[in-house]
Amino acid sequence: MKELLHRIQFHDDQQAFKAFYQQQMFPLYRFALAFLKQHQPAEEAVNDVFVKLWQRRHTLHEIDNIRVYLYVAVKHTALNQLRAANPFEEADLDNVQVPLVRFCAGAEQRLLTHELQNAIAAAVRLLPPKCRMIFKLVKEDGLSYKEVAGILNISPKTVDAQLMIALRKLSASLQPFLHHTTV
Amino acid sequence: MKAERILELMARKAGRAAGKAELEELEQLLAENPDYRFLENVLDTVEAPVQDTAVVRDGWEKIEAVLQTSAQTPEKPETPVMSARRPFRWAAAAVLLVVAGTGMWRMARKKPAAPALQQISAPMGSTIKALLPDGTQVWINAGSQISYDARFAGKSRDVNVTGEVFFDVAADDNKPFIVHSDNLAIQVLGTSFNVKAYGDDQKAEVAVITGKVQVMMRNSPEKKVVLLPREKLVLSLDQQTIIHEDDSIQHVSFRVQELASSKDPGLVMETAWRHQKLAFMNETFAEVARKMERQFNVNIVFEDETLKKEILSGVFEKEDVNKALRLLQMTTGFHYRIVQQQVYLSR
Repeated sequence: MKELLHRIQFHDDQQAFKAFYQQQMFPLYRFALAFLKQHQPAEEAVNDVFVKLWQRRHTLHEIDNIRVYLYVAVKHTALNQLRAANPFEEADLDNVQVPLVRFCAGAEQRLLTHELQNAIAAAVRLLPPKCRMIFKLVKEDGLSYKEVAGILNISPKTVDAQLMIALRKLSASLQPFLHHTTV
Repeated sequence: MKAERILELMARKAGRAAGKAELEELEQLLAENPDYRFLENVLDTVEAPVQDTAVVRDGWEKIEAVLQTSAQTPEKPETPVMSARRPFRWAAAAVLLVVAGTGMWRMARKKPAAPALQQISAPMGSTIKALLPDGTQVWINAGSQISYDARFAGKSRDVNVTGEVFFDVAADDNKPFIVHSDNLAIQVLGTSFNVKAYGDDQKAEVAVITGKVQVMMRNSPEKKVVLLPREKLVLSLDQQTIIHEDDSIQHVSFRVQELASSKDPGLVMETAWRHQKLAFMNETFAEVARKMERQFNVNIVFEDETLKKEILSGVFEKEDVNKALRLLQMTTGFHYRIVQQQVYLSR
């Protein structure tokens, strides 16, 4: 990624920009989808951010953490779109419907029975939106506490607390499946 | 109390905030509490969603268009994005007004925006047979790949192909089956046919075994060709096609021909690969070499360029690369040596 960014900044390399886009676009798109619900506006929001990134490519080195930067920019763009669409209702993270967390395809063979997978999926579905969003960003997108805190503009302590809530609820939903492993 | 501590440490580990001492403490606690080890294993199965390549590709096409416009009009680079977005803002507004809460979520889920994309690839040196959710059977040749929406949820059953794939399509009059390659779209209702569209080849081929297919060329959609059994379409692609997409029609040439006949009526040259046979008739050594590279997972190097133009015919059955080369030597004079996966050909 470093090399791609270097090529973009110093060589105006569109090929590198394309590769960078292909690497980063999809998780950002899913993130935007959580706010905007629909394909087209979500794609617009992400593309808007990338076009602006290209326009400011010569100052890329000023960006501290590019992934955090992209997520934050997508969030702002999405929220602005929502505000413009509905000026009377402030968009707020807690009202955002976050897509479900994804369990990997091989999970079933690895250790999960179908029943168990359903139980976890249900537990994830029941997480409060903000909590689920944090869980997704950490577990699916591989972001750290600090990064998530920066993206959602909350304190790392809150991220910590929310993630613990998520784990506690998931752990509770696993209880019925645990007897055989303990005895 | 202990449970809380485990959860706290697991959360810190997931968020990459745990220090070395904390990780050790967690390991210790997990060893004592298999229940939580189990929880951690379960959480390990959470992974990033599979990238929907169509979304990324379409998104990039739009960006590319904007980059080109902004290169021409540097003083107002953002205009195209803004104007393009406005209608969607209103669309978003309309949706927001009408729907609240769960109903909207359900609608968003039904959108084809993020279909579960299924991908099957055959590695070099082996072919794969697979069954698609609609009952269609596919044989995927070495070094080839297909991808499709795992649920076939759309109005048509769309499958993307790179390389060579044989389809035996399950009939469904209500849902056309469409195969997409870089340069072709092939539409059928129920039939069997072979598609060959390797990215590094100079030509693409569609050969029909049973039924009827309609082929459209990506760069000139007005040209539709209907193929009948034992017919094949050969599309020649020169390098220019790929570079100048705008006026590529002149550069793409195609012809429809009968399938090559062979002495064995049961053998169709074009689909022999499905039975681990390597068949070719009146093809250049260069073309045959490419087939052999895929079939045997080797790299073939022509040390003598004139060899490439030799015309060869033959059928190999389950031979290894050595045997195959020796058979070829019977009709054409050449020497070969094999060093690891590299085959060197010389006069």
